[in-house]
Amino acid sequence: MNKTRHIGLHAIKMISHSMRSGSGVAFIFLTILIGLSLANLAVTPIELELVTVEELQDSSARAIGVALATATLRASDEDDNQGTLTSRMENGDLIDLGMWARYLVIENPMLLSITVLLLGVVLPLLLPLGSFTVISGDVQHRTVRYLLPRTSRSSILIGRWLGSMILAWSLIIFLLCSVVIYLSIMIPSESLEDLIPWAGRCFLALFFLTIPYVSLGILCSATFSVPMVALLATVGSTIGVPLLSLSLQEAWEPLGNLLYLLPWGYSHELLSPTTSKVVEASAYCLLHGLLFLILALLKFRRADL
Amino acid sequence: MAVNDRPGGLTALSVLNGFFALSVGGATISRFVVSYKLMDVLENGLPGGKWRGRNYYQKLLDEGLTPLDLQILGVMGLIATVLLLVSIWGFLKQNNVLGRWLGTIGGVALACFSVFSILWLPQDFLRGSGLSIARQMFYPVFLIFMLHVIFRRDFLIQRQDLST
Repeated sequence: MNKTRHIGLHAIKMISHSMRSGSGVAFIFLTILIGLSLANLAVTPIELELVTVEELQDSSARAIGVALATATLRASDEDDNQGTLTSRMENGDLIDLGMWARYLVIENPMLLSITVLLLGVVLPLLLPLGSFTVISGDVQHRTVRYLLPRTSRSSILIGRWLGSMILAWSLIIFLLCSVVIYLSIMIPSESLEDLIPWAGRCFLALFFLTIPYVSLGILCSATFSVPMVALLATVGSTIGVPLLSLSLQEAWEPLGNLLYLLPWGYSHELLSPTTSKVVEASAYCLLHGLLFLILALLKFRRADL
Repeated sequence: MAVNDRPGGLTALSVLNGFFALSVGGATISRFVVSYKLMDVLENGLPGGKWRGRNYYQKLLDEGLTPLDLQILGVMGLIATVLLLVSIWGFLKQNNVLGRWLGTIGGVALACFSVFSILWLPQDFLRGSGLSIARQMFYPVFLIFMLHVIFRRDFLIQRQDLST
């Protein structure tokens, strides 16, 4: 049997096994539940008429601008409150961020943009749940030994990586479809003609965002033979990198670049209004994913199973 | 079949069933308590002075909600709670009737509880938008899908093991 077929088989088996395992059920359930909760968070103020669409556009444009300034490491020490940063955006210093925020909430369906931005922050923490047992589960119980006479280590790893990716992408598609259908029915200001192309664009952004984080989960799963340690390492590094870089940046500014160890430093550019930046961010995501996957392959090939 | 042969997903589903049974159980108690208070309000009128629940009960009355409606919702919630709790045992023992079928009926009862709550109760009472209700509907659909598609064979194999 050729290698491609082996990889396909491992991917299919990984998906079916994942849906039967405790961690897989928790991953699917939590991803959908948290995704819908985030969409709910964005929709509720409008639906319950607590604010008007214009008010929400205005306040969310400001909040997104502040978040983008922090993510691009352009919020300085003097910006101790949101007002200073907003005035810098309006005065021209950070005008590109102001334009970017306007692109997300005024030129495109606002509620979908807010949901996807929130998902972009939360998904990296949820994705490890779907990948932490992929290798370590079998290594811990030594069941991987039964597979090795019939297939290669690289086929197992790449097949399972592909399976994890397909599962994560399916969940994202399901989530986006639910939100788009709901918004088109319930919120008159969001028309289906605007929502569908923007949802496609948002899916592409989340598609590329998924690659490095799932690969990181696989790398930790191939490195540690105890699944819970693999989960802790993945979630710990995902949360630890931005916290560490943002706190070290205050001591010495170049240390803020530690943020680029993971896609946190550029993932927001996947929704940039400039196509070249989107392509660049997508390429970085692919490279990051590839790097983690190669490291995982090297680790798994040499592992004593 | 040994305990370790049970798929981890079934154990996870039993935990989720317990969580949802408790949350529906809480909502059920609230429906019964509110129905008795509403009965009191209908008999004696809204109490005077600074009563915290004045607006709340006024809205229920404005919606045309009767204590019987709330009691029906309470009974639905009670059925869902009991079935979901009993099905936990069925999941852990991989029993086809107690697990798969009671779990399914429990899921349907949970969905009915959510649907009738949306139809009958005012929005303020639900404290959420339509999407939060869609989120509530997700678990019953997910539960039924898992029981009848993913874990179907596990329940049937266990039944065959018992019969031989």
